[in-house]
Amino acid sequence: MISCKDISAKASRYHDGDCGWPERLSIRLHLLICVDCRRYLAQFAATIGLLRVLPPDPPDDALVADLLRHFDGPADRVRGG
Amino acid sequence: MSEGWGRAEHMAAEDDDLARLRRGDKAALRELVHRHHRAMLSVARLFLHNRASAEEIVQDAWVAVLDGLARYEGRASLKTWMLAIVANKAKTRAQRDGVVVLLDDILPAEDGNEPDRFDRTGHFREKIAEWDTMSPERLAGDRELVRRIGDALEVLPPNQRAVVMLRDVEGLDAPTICNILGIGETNLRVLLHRARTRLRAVLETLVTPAYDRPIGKSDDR
Repeated sequence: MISCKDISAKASRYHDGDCGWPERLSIRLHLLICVDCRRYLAQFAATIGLLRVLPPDPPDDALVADLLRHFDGPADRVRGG
Repeated sequence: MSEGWGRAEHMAAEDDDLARLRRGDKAALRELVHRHHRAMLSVARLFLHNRASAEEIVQDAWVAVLDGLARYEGRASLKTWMLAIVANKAKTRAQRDGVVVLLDDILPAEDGNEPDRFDRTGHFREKIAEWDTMSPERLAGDRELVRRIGDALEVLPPNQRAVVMLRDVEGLDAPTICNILGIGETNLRVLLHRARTRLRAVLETLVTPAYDRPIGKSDDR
């Protein structure tokens, strides 16, 4: 019988759909009877979901300013125009 | 770009970005840098242990991206192409500086599965809280929580940070990440799992009410 520890070890692969069907079936059977694992996997999915909508972490203004200056360079070099 | 977008929408958005960049649209450049800088830096930091060197390489990579826009043929996505540029530059710099990078160095003793959480039969010792009302968008709206997750990403081992950034934040597929970073798929999965497990544990301390209070084992298993 698969345990909660096994479920947590397989959480990432299960989330990504990388488990084969026998493994997936054994996980689903465990989930039918284990509320903690259902919640754990939901938390796991929420964590990944949060990472997907994480706001950008902008660089220093100085870097952006440097790049904008470079972008203003000759169009044939930068953009092929 | 929002979650739930299909490949076609992402490609259309990238085509639009590219067209704007080639027209010299400065706002497009600013958006591109803001959106991908963190991932670019995480790739550089995988190869270069010194943060200042990594930041320098990222700046060089952005310049190379701008200089290469005219030659970019779209064989890989714009994002993949940019991340490959920074990876190649960082690898070259690491070789030049004699930095030894063990990308596949996975410590077997490090258990990503929080072993203390389980009893001898492998079941959770404590009840797991329900987060069902916490959608990712709602979680992302909590500034303090986002800041703490940013901090948690920052202290991940460099290989875990790079993998989770590329897979979950940037949304790249596994073969593309393996190609950019030069790691095998098995190790990618291990690193990704460990990173996600650590980040879930961080979120648990922030989201779950009264986390520190011992809770009886769930009885509806």
